[in-house]
Amino acid sequence: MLPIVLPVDTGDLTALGPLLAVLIAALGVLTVDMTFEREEARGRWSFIVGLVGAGLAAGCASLWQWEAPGRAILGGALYADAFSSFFDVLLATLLGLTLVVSWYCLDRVKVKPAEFTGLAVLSFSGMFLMVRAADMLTLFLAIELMSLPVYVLAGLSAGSKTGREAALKYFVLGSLASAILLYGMALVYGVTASLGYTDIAGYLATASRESGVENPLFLAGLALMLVGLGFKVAAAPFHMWTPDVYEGAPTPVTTLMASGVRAAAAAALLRFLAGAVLLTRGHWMMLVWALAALSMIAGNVGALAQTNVKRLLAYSGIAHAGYMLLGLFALPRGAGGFSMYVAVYALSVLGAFGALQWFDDRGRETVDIEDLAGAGKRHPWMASVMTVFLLSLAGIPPTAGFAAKWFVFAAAVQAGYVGLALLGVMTSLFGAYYYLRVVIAMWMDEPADISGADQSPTTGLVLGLLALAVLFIGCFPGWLWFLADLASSKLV
Amino acid sequence: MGLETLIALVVLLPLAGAALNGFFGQLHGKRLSGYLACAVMAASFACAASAVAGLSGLSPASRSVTSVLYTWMDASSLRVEMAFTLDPLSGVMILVVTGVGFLIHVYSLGYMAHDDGRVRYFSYLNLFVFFMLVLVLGASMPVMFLGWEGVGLCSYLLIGFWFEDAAKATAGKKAFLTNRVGDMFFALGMFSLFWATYQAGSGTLAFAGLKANKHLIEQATVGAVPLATFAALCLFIGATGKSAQIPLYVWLPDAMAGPTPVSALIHAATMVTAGVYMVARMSWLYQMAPGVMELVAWIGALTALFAAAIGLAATDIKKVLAYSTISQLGYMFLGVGVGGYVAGIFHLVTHAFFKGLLFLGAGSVIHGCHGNQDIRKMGGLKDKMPWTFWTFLVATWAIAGLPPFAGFVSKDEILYEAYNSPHGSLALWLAGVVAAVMTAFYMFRLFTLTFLGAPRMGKKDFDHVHESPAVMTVPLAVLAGLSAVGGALNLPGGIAHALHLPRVLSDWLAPVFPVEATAHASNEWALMGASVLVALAGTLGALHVYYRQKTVPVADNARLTVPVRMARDKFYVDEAYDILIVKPVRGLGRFLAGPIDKRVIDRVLAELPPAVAYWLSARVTSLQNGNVQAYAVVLFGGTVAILAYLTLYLR
Amino acid sequence: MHFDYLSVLVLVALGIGNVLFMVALPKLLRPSKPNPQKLVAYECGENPVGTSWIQYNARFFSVALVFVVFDVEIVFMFPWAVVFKSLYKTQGCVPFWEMFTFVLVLLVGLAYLWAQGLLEWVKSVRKA
Repeated sequence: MLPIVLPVDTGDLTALGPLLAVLIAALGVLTVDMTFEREEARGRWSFIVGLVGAGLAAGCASLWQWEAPGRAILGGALYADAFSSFFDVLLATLLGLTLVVSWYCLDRVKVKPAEFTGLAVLSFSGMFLMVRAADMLTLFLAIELMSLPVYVLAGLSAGSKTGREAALKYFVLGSLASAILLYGMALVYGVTASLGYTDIAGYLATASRESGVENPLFLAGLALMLVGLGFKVAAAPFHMWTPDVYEGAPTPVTTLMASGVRAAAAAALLRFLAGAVLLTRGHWMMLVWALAALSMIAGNVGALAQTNVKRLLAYSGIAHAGYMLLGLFALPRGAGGFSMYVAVYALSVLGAFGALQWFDDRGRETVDIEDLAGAGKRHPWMASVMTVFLLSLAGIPPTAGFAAKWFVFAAAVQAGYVGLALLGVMTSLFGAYYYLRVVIAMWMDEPADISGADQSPTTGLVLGLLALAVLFIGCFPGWLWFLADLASSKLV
Repeated sequence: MGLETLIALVVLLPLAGAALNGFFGQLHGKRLSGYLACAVMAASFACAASAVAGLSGLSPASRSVTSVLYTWMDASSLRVEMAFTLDPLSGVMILVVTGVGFLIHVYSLGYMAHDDGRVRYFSYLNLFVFFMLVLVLGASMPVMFLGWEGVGLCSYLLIGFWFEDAAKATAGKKAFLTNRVGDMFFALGMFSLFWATYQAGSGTLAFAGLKANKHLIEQATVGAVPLATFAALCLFIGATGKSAQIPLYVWLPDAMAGPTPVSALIHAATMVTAGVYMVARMSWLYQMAPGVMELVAWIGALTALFAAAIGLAATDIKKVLAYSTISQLGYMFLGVGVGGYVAGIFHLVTHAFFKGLLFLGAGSVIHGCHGNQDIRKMGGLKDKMPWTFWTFLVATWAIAGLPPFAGFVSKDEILYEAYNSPHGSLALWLAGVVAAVMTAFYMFRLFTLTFLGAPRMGKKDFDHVHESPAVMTVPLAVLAGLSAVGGALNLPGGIAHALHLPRVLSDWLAPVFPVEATAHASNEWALMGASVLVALAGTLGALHVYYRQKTVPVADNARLTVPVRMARDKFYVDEAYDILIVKPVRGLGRFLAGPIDKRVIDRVLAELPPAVAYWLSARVTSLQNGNVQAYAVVLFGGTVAILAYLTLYLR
Repeated sequence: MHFDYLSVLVLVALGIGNVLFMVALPKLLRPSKPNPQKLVAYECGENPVGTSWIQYNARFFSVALVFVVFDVEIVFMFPWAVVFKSLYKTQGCVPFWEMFTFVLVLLVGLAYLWAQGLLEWVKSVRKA
């Protein structure tokens, strides 16, 4: 009998808990899918396993170690710190919510529940890996682990041409972005001779200006990496895929793409910028400035004329990427506003897509603003819930979106980027306009012809609670800000 | 219970009543809502009485107790507490407000018994009392302003209580808008006082703090004008709005559209006296601005004259009383304007008694006559409504200034001050005396036409006239008693001296007002005699014309002399305001709404930006042609741009 | 100097030479009996006539993917197998369990493919 010795110390394993929980859940879903004979049973059990995985991931998030200093584990491949814990909780919440709000709609978009759950959980395992990646190789691996299932998910809807188109576009452009990212990583590695963030930061600190901070090769690598990560958070001008893919993919998948994928990519971006290349912020801050400005303009202006809610939310998501980036200006102090914005945006947009799915009671997806006409009269409660999410996305008090915007704008103003903050405020006006168009359609227009299929009360309840949470955060943003700031302040 | 708790209770009880009725009134029912409102008023009055009793137990110098509820606003340089100060002056006021208020609440039980909006009515009435108490007890100008605005709001709500009637709703609006003009100046005065103290590094708006920083305010100027003068003037303009003085009195006659108890409480006894109270409260400021004091006195005297003249010709029972109120308020301003603060407050108190009584009596008459308000169609009600008749007589006696009732004592004191005070003059005194003649005349005219002589209404109508229920007549009797003996509160100096009796109100208020005692003049008896004589003259004149000669005012223009016609038409002030202010403002509004807003604003500012935005949106989204290669090109373009930027940047 | 790269140059030359040699040798040795079937570019069952933008049977891709997965597995296992003996001396059975886990994960994937019927060329439709 061979002695059983754990390959890593238990502390490291604890830190890996959420990741392992989700990975095991992914394997579990696969197992369930091949074990049960009947389609319903497969779907139900995989759903349960996925939810249990999300719950375990949330439970394993090392919240009790908030105050502990961050450290690298597994030979410097991963970090275990408050930042990853913060995002563990967020991602676990997003995973659970994505499964719940999508559950009853999968039939309508002709997606097999077990396949959806399996791929979603697998994709989330990539995200859990991503938020704790401590070197470029792990980061790349995580990004691919996250993206590949999403490519598949986008095209999962049987017989949906737009879904297939979306999947192909996403895949082709995503591969391109991955290639660019990888090229950037190669250049950075070529200059610094290291993969780990800490080592890169160390190299930059010790090397001369010519060979380090101002090395053109290094900066080119950095720029290419920014492009790759910018693609994942859908910042302009790397956003072109977003509207088509969000519109074409089945709404449950769009929900996942808009919330989970965005959140994880943003977390990885912040970790890389703060942890590895903070010393060159003089260079990339201007790039972030340009990306933020372009995103806010392109997103908000683009969303203005949309009549398709999914497309509208896709464009507005580009704008939100811009607002998010404003939070980066708080660096080198903790970019708490950034993390908070990511969390609030992910929750709000998930709620909005979730409510949108809840409304598709006509045997097909709700996609156009017209489809929502009169929703306030048919389903006043759910319309209120949807309104809360839209107001939060528009950044109107007393919702969480307002508080989050406040913090990122404050970060930009404090860093002296008053003009950019002003641009943000002004483009937000656009946002108020197009979000309110949806709200107005729901409350003031006459109801469209509705068959009134059964809606899940459980989903409604969950969305209602989420809306309450959004309002709660809006009224008492302090605690979330505190956590986000605490989590983000130790990255540097 | 500590004094602070009592003060807070005085204020908060009516608020609780208003909230209970307002929020749950429909649940606990219409009957209960009235009793609830009366109960909180009784409790509030009891608290007020014990608080004032407690205050009188303190030494005169320390009679000022402040109860801080919480910090209202704290903006570093400006800190305002939600605090209430009980001192002799506010003590008098809360007794009047809660006492008379309680009686009027009880009266309302009967008067509003058949109205469907009772719950709303009592809720508003309680709310009004709450704001009135905030106004008089407020320890700082913002708190007072809160009450000031609050009573204005309740006044608006209650004037337009029967809002289904467009004219009544309009009357409410008129009151509100006219008051806004005054309120703006009040706020301006408040800001200027803050500015003066803030400049000197100790910004405050608390009355105590302002008074302590008197010297700072005295030194400050606004342009070439001393700040004290500026602030006093602004505050006084505010007072002319709330207290219906020239030039902002026009809303009060229209305010009679509200239920009659409301007219009694708000538009006679309490709210309209807020301006007088405010001037008295800020007496130290007015002492620093003698010019403004003179203006106050003259405005008061002129208003007294002017309104009395209109009252001579009015034929609506409530309108007569409304103009009478304006006129009596003018007396009060005359009093405080010449530095006779005690006299002004004294008249305020007695006026609350007898004018409250007159309105309630008028309400009783209207109630008995089933809504008829025209005195030309009354007459002979004496036997039908004995309680109302006798109490009305007492009130008329009092307001006419006939001894020995309350009105005589307090009015006499104002006239005495107007003549003898360092700020007074013969002209002011004369104006007061002439107004007194007219007051006696129009009051007895009203009285005679209403109660005496033969009935001028149809027989059937007359048969239906009935005395009001006890719930209405008992408050009348109580107020009649107060109107009769209220003068004892502050006996004329000579009488008090002769009989060795104390002058209660003067002694009580002594710590509050600037010591500028008017010399005890030997002409007191002569002035008193003169005022009795003129009152008698007016009374007898009215009785002669309307009782002996049985004259009845006519509506026919041809048979009226020009002055009477002018007086009946209120000297065309409303029409003048309409032409001079309302029409031009409305014209400007039309111009702005029409050509400017529709053509310029809507086209340029409201339609152009969306058009541009939509155009941009179309451009941005047209990039989105669905072609993956194009997307890739944009992605590469961005990448190249970033790389190019970095290269250029490094150069 | 750049003389260090001489070895690379030699390697490149050897590579090219080797390919040429391997192509040239059969030409000398084999009998030449061409027929149309033999002359097509690819002898793998697909008819190469027409445009190359045709839709391949999706089964090619799934099989290729499965192949790649296990190909990569071998890539990871090979070095592990080489050093396993020395690892066992220092770390006991830990490296074994590590690789076991790795293979287990892939095994679940393989089982899933199998259950889905992707290993059969003619895919059997599962009863729903």
